[in-house]
Amino acid sequence: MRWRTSRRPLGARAAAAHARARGWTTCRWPRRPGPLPPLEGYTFQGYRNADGSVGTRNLLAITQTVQCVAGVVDFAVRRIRAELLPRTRTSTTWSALEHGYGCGVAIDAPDAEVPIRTLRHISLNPNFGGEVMVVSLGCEKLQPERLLPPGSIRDPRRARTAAEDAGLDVVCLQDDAHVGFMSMVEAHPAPGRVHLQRLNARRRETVPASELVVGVQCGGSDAFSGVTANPAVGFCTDLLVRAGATVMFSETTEVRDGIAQLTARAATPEVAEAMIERWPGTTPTCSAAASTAAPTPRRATRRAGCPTSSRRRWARSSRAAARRSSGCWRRARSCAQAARGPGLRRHAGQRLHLRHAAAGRRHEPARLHHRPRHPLRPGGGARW
Amino acid sequence: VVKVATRSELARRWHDLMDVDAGRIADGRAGIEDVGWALFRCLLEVASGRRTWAETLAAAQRADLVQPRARHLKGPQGPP
Repeated sequence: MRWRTSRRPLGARAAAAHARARGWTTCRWPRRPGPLPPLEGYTFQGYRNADGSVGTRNLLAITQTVQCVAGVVDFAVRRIRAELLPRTRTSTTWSALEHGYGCGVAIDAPDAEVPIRTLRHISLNPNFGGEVMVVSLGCEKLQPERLLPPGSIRDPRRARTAAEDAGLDVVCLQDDAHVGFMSMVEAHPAPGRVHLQRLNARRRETVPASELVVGVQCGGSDAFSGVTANPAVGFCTDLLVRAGATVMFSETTEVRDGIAQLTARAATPEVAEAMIERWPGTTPTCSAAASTAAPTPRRATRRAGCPTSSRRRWARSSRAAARRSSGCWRRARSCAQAARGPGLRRHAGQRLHLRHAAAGRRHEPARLHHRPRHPLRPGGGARW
Repeated sequence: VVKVATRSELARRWHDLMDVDAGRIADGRAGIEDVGWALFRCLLEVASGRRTWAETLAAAQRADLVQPRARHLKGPQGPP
């Protein structure tokens, strides 16, 4: 087996040889499940929506167009929780969909649609039954009509009038009608009651398991994850797929070494080839950041990478302070000086700054994950 | 959120967080297939309305589920 040089898609057999040549191991269980028979007759009790999707919970969602309104929404939900829900005979619960996006999410960039689409689809979760309330500030770039364009909530019951065509229930905080903060808060429960009544009319009915959409996600690993929980979840995933359900998973960069498990389950050879094209550790995210695969550089490495000239310059310095300090400190300082670039020159009083910078560098050696200084972590305490 | 414990010791220690104990595979008390089937049935029950521990405690999701009444704090019904 030669190493691949062309980008031509591989056949199934070549793909297996390709994986073997790279040392991609496959576990013995179950190497190739083959065409497993579909599972028939498995059902659950779900809420069927007007658009055909099926929810597993009955939730009234309050979504927001911009994170600036999160404080008001939080306050309003707490108030609703305290006042409205205890007085309403309901099986419904309220869910505030917070997010951290500001106006930058709505710029006209090629991929700006991705976070907007994500927010939109979270708001259209089948568990909400299309009864989504939107809280808007008024001045944000991501206007409610852009978050949920007309027709995105496909509910024929809503399209009775033109005003209801969009199916959007928007509370705009900068509206002139609101006088004072409590007016904004009070604007939430009234439309909420209407949605709550509609949601309370939802009833569970028997639906096939093929309507399920399940996401699997790592919630913390230990040495046993790979031998107990992950294989069991994988087996369950096979069962769900055999029953016709949809399963999603994340952390796809970690799939690289288990790609044979996925290609063996691909619906068509084209899908398997697309996976192999996609996953040999060359995804743009990985190559651009080079952060997940690269080991954390040690201090000695950084020291060696320090420009000699600046080290010499520092060594030539006749300042008593520099002589007094240890070699380790001096090197760290010269590293910091080199890293700071030519923009900052030494001057009287610079020693303190350099020390500070050196300590800061020492505290975050990898520069990958920025962690603020903390007095209880090494190198984080106040020393001067 | 249905939480799967990797070890039985963890499932015992976090008895009010974990829904399925996959540590039985390591102990030899169950096979991968057994736990997979148990998880599959558990998922169908949860989809039908059974509350998971995470849902009961309203701790796992960012879109936290509001639990207005204390009577909801009783956890999943029986072992999965």
